[in-house]
Amino acid sequence: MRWDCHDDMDNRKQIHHTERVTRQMADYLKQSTRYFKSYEEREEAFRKSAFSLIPRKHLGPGPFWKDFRRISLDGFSKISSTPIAVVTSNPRDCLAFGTPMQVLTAACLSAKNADQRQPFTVAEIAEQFGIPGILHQPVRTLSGGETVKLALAKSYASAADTTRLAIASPFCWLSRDNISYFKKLFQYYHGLNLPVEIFALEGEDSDRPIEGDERLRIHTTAPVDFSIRLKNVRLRLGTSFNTLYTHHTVVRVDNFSAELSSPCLIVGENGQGKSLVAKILAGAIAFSGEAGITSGKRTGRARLLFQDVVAQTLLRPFGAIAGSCGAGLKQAALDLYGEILAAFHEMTGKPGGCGDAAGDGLGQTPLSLLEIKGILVAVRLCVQPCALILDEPDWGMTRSDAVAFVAAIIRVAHAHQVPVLIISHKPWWLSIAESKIHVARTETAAHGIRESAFSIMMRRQAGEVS
Amino acid sequence: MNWKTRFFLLVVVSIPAFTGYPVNALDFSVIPGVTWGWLGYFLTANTLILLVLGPSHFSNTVSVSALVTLPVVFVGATVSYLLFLTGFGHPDGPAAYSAHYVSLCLTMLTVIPLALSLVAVIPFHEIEQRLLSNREGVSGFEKSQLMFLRVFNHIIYFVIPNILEVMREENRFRIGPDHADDRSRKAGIYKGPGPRSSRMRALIRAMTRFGIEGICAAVQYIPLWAVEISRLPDRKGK
Repeated sequence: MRWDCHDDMDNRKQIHHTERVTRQMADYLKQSTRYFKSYEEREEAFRKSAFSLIPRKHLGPGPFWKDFRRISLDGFSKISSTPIAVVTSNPRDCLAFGTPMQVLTAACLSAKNADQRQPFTVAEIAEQFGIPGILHQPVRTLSGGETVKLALAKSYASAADTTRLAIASPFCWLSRDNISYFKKLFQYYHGLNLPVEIFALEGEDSDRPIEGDERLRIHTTAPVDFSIRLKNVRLRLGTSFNTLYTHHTVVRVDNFSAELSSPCLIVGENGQGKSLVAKILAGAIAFSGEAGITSGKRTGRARLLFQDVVAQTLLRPFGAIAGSCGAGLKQAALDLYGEILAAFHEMTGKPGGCGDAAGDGLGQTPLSLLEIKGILVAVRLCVQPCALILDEPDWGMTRSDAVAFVAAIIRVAHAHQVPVLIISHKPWWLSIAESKIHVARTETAAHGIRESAFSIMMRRQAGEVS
Repeated sequence: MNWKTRFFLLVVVSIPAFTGYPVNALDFSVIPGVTWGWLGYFLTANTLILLVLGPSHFSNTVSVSALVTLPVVFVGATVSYLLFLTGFGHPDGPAAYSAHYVSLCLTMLTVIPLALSLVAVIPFHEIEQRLLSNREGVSGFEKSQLMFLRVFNHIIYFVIPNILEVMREENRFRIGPDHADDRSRKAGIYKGPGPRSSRMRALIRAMTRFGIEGICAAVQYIPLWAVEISRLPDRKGK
């Protein structure tokens, strides 16, 4: 009995200790996180934290080259004495080497140079972060999820050679499966008494589904029915630039056919192929087979708002983006842009109309991320597509702005009988979706030494909430 | 055949392009602008590329070469003709300079495939894999190689494909009303409605945007990578 009592007490102490540590970590995480009201503010703060090493592309070519010139002239002297580990908002951009083995070897080399007691080997770190099987695979062939884990592992390995860690919007790109790796990294830096700076947008770390007043704003229009069909879809990832040595990835998408209702949510963890499916449906990528969406009397491809909308602008000014749908449709695009932003401002209660962008056809004023997203969506809606796909629409936006923006798009799109599909790994959108598709990836056998292969399976999820 | 042997063969075949010997020595004309020397060199170089590097690479090379050569030759000839019409060009007209453009076409269709093949035969990925294999540190030359390879890979495997995806998604809808398409899709050449002049203007605008976005995207993270590569410990000399 006495022995059993001791066991019980030890277990309870262990549980209390674990809970206390978990609460402490949660508090430290909150203290380390700075929340911002806009993408521009967050980018500016993150950039300054990273010694302004990243020129600001979202402001346009002029400011970009001014920043680049300043970085070139300033040099790196002040950075050498206070090195930092950085994880950018697109984790692939902060990886300076061609393979995960090189990334982790470089991190370990630098760390060992700073502290000979560096305890980790590349294999150990790869094992800890779930990437032991991809060490020699080119970084360019890694999935989004694998890239995220590699970026976190790199920061972990280089801790001995850094004075702090700066991460941009981790909750935007981390799915639930990978949150544990982020927490492992955070705890490690905390254990070493190294500051961690997390630059996040307001509400981006929320797991709460949309509900209450937010839900009501979404459902001011009737759902739009549509169907998706994919048959015998095959594609090769990788470039044909160097056919002799290029590592190709062969992708097979399992046949899928479903009757759905808009808004439709496409869900899946990091790196499962959600964006790839969207690009196939939008015709943005070459493939063989059949892929199409039927909505009303229209059958064909969808239009796609990419996750990285700044890259999608191709650095064009507002007027050029508005005119990209053709001269005859420019005014229609501008009208739709006005509708979207008016709906957005009505839902957020923020003052403002179309902003300076619509009136400044000369492109003198840098566009805000909201304006960029608004005009890109308007240009796509004005051609009456079979569907509009939004890839991670909350990217670069606070939660409240993202919800209002998507609600505005759904309202305007449904008014024109255009179904909307939302790609996201966030649980926010679950409660507003009229239908859901789950995307998952499975590795398959490859046919050559410079080839890897995987299949994408799409499955309609039951239990839609309306 | 390993890559060094292939590279050596291609270098040997490239020598006449730089020295002009012996191709320029065989200057008997087949047709105006085409000599036996250059015709033989054209056939020899392209046959060697096909045999050494394979039909898959050869077809890509021919496509790229044609894509570069034809606009240059035809635009050049057009400009010369326009200059002739204005009175500022060659007084004898097209008969005087047409041979030059035929020769230019043949030369480009010989030299461009050789240049592309010389680059393609180098296994950058193997070189890349060998870098950072020495755990004692990294030499200055290796740091430069690492930087070059990172930027090269970023441009070839991310910047260009991302831009092509954006342009494909947009251009697709300039063709006309959308409809289901069962056939295999390949990378599209820009097409659009309206008169040829407006399409040409749109093409030039698209290429300008491609260039601006490509350059900015290519260099945006160079400072970040440079800092990380520079932090690698230097290999101590023996």
